[in-house]
Amino acid sequence: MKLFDPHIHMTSRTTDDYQAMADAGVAAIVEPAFWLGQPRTHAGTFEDYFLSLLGWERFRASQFGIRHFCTMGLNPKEANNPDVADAVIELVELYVEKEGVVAVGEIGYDDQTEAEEKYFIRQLEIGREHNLPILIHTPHRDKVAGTKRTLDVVRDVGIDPGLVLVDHNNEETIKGVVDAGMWAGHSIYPNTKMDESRMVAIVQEFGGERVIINSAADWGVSDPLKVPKTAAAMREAGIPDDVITEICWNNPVQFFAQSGRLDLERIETNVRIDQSQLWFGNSVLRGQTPRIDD
Amino acid sequence: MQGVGQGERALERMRELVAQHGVDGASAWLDEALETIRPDTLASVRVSLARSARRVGDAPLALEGAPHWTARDAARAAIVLRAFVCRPGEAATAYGQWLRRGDQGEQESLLRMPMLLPEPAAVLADTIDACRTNSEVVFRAIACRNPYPAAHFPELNFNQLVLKAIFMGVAVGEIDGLADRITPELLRMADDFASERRAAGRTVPEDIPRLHQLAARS
Repeated sequence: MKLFDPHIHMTSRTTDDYQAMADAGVAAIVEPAFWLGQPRTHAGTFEDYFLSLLGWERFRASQFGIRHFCTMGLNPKEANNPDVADAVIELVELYVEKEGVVAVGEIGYDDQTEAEEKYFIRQLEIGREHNLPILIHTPHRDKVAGTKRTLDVVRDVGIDPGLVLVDHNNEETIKGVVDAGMWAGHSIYPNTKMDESRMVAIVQEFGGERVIINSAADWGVSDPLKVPKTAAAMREAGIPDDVITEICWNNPVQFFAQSGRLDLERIETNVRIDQSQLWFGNSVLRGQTPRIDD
Repeated sequence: MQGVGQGERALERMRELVAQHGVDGASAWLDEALETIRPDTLASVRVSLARSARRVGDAPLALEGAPHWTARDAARAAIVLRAFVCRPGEAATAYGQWLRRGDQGEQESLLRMPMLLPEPAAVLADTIDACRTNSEVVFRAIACRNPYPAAHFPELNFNQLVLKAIFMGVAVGEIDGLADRITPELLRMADDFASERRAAGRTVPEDIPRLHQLAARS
């Protein structure tokens, strides 16, 4: 079964992760634009990061047969930095035009400040101006209230709910998101937040419609194999294969295909792997034999 | 790309190619995009280069002499040519920005087309710099089936391009105009690389004896 991880920060992961993901059946990923683990001090840092999502990470993924897409946006944390925020919004307006950018994101609230709200609203508008779906980060602190506020803002700005993926849901937030007609993402972690067995319970209660799962793997303790592991847990719990396929492939494909940047036919084909390719002089191989598909 | 000319003539040929090979609406979109590039402003070029991928598509042009070109390469060439026709000084400076801030597809297109410019030498520094970055995809766009390096690169940079091709496993047979640019110094560099490979117990690329054969013939 082909699997899709629609929220994973590969810039912080090694090629061992790519290999393990490929071996486990992950065929497509979306890497959202986010922060780097500590605050940036120049808008230019954002630009070079955006370029790396479009360039190096996309190339690295292709070396392992994985199709890499990305989102562009000013993340909720750094929306609070007045030194960079306006300049980054200008960059976002340009970089959403690039190939393989499948949404504006990840945007939303972190602490629920005024600055976060201002740039959240502006980027919802950018999504609408560019006919792009929106990937929304919900706060990890004060989540229920933050998610409610998120849904209110999306409604007030008048964005089509079918174009909105609200991520990092839990048992308390999923119903509101799904009832609002939006898509509900869930990030599965090893020790904290949502895990496989709780996700299984959610699917047993709510079904698979507009439900999406991801690993949100980044520099912290996280696991880039959470999508295959959760798929396995669902299978073990007796959830039918067609529901698992809906959650782990069809839903993310359909959602992001709304961008017009994800070709529905091409996504079903294999990426031709040519590990003799080099990117900016940094081959992903170190003395290994290149794997070249016909 | 034979018989295409430069400047305005090349621009017209690029428009034809987009009409023949672009997706539905490609020609109309390209003409609109070209109209926004004027003697008083090149501001729209960056976004038009990015949008070319979606608005024109990537159907191969199957051109003799330029087998790697696709429809979006032709569209981007048209856009860049129009910029050079309108504001040559600013375009020559901006070309490097468009290149470094382009996604992979944009970089390929920009590096395939400089021979079509009214004054191709105007972007020499940026094209040489692109070879230095060592990305095989980007490197192939400037090195393979592209007359520009043989026509314009100084000896040092051309030699480095050939050596890099050998190093990367890019066939030297794909480097246009190679035979006329082989020098004793280039052969010396290639032979030194062969010696390094033998010392490491690794195979010597076949392209090194091939370089000698090419040199002997010309």
